[in-house]
Amino acid sequence: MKEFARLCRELRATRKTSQKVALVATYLQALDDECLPIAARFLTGGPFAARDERTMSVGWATLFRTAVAMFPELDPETLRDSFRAVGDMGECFGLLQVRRGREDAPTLTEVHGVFAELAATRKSAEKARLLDRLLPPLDPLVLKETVKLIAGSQRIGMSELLLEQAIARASDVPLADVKRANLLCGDVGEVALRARRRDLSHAGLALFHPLGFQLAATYEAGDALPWERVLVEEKLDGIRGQAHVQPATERGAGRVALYSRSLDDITRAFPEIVARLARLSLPLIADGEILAFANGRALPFARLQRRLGRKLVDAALAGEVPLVFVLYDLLAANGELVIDLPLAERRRLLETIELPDGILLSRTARAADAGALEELFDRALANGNEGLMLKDERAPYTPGKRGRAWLKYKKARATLDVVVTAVEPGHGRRAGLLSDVTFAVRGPDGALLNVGKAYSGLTDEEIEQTTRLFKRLTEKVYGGRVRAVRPEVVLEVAFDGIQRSARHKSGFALRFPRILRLRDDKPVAEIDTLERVAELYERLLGAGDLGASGADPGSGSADAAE
Amino acid sequence: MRLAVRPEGLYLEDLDLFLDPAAEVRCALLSHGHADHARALAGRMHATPETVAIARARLGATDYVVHGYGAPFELRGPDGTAARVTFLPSGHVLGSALVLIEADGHRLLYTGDVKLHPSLTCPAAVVPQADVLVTEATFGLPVFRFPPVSDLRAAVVDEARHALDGGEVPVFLGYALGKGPEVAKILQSAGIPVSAHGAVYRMIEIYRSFGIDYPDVVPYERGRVEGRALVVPPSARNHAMLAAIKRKRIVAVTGWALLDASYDRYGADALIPLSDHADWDELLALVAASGARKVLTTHGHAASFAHALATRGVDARALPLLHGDEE
Repeated sequence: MKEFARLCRELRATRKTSQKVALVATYLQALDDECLPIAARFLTGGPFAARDERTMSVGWATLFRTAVAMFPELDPETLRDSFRAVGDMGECFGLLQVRRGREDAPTLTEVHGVFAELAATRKSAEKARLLDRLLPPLDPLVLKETVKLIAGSQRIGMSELLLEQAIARASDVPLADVKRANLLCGDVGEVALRARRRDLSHAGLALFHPLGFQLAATYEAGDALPWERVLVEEKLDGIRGQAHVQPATERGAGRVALYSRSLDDITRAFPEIVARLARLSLPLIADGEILAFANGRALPFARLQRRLGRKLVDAALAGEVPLVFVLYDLLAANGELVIDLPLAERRRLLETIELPDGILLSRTARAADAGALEELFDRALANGNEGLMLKDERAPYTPGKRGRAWLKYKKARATLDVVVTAVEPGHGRRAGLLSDVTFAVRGPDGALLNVGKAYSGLTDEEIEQTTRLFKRLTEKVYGGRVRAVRPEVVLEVAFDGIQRSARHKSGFALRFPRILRLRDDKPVAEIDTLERVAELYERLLGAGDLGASGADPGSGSADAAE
Repeated sequence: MRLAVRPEGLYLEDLDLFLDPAAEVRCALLSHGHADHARALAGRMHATPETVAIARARLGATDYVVHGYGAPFELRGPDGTAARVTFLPSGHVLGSALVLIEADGHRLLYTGDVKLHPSLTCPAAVVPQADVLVTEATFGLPVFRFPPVSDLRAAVVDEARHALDGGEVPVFLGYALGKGPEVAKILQSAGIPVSAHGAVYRMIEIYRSFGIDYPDVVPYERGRVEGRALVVPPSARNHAMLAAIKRKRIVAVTGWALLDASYDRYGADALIPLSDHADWDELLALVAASGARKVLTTHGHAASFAHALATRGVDARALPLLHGDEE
């Protein structure tokens, strides 16, 4: 640990990155195989590998308590002033320890061992006991760096890239190999060791280490088609997930894990998806989207969001929102990484896999010109999706990169949340159903003001369901046909524009309104206002049509596929 | 003897006398020449010969009254109160004085700025007994404890030699009064030629006039720095003067060098915590040596230091004085 601490001191005194790389490379070369991975991880500023979920969770208060115990000749107020004046826990400990501590320092392995113990206990008394044993004997320099690792404030100016360069230089291997291995396995320590053993090509093959997600750039309406042939998928408004599956064999039980885009383990939030994935017959890593899905349609993202942030999902919650997992890419199969294959090839492999119920394959289409793309876009909107994903069939999967191989195509699409005020029967197939609805926004005095009438958009099942509801809510029937209903049903509607209108009291009418979905998650009190309609009207005036307008109404789906 | 805090500075009412005043007053004692103490001219200013020379250069002319170290003099207030005043070395910079004021058997000691570790350019501090001690507390926290001076001087010389050997110009950042001339003297003692920024050089001329020897210190001339160490004030860090020097190593010499943040604050490649101020241990030693029953603190971590003294059973409090934190 002493050499590590000295290195940190030198790195802080060095501004030239080339010199930092040289210092680290020399340092790494001198380490044995046991210390090398630990040191490499420590140089990222954290105690464990990036893919490792453990945290030491030692807060300011715990460290402060240790300081009070370590420096009994100083009163707590003076210690607090000292921490405030220095601004960094590690530095402060080091300065207070001047002319104290022992000559000999623990090894990296020993320090790492205590870090693991700190991560393993949740009891603060136990953490305090571990710190009280680890910290007091350390010399000032080692103490400083140890506390900095605990507090997460290393500040040695080593980026991931510089560290990768140092590893490549230390073992004389190509930087690209190091970067790739690091990207794949998410443990710079393992990468450093594999680099030394000339074994980088096998890094990252292990299941249950999440890979970075391929990220998408943006395609703007009107841009030239990016490639000759564009693979098109509808952009799903769910939660991006990476599935790792090891089916059960005679030799052992299987395992399934789901990781979020931030590489968090979200397995326990989606037990029904996990159960279905467990029925797969071959080991794989796949990329896809978890969707709330009922009656052949995606449900609002909000319904799905309730699942996140829960560590455990019981059967009741699982039954409340039916989920599917839509796969759209394959990263590994049968123990082999396939990310370097072109998308067309990966997709072909994905299509050969037999999928259990509830695990779906994304629908793909191909567009060779802008007209086809627009058609697909409109269909995506009609399907309740927010746009398209355009993918280059020839491109490999690049984990963690926002490249131009995937493009998201979203038009800034304004929608309104409205409440139904009147209904009437439809025509033809829907003659017996109350399928045509008049809807309103809230006026400045709280009164509901109609802004349009829509004829379709819901599924037959939904229309049957709402028809029953509307019958119950009916307050008055005009001419035996139009029913005024109690305003309780909230809808999200899309539209192509807004016009001034003398027909509605609101003064506005939506052009070609379409019902996107029932918003039964939204109370009537939260529907949009006339003010918002007027604002959209102003905005759209100069914009020609809705698709070209600039502002995004906000989708709120942070985890959705981008 | 009543001590008051006035907007102009610390004030001894019975003597109508200010200590290091911030505004023009009738009569004042000046502890040393740093800009956060020599802030304004008084009608009559008492100071050591070195401090008078510095104040004359920095503030201009007035009725200076010169008193050497250890030579008591008498001051009388408007009501006839008499006090015996003695300047003693404070060990801070050239000419810096501890001020001992005795009246009616009561002794007040004002430190101005003080340090107890030795310097090559000013005599070591002499701490007398006092009843009340008014002390600076720039480094009045236990995190501020400096390494031995001999190590720090060696570091200065090492940095200079190492840079020169590598074809770089060693550039030391240090205030014109105090650190700059001290670093120049350390370098000279090791036989390293020095070029000094104008502000530092003007001060070195004053040091020379008081018998401190600088055999090879010349004013900085553009393009003539090869083989020489350069000493500049920290404020010159980003001046064109330094930008014109392609290969250089910037070394900040300051007590604040204990903190890593100083790399950025000074734009430095190396930090040497050689200070002109007392560290925590020295401040505690100063309080003990003075035997003071009551301690008033100013500057830097005044409140923290007063609190720390109080927990040690000393009657201490911080004075509500506003100062810059120039070292």
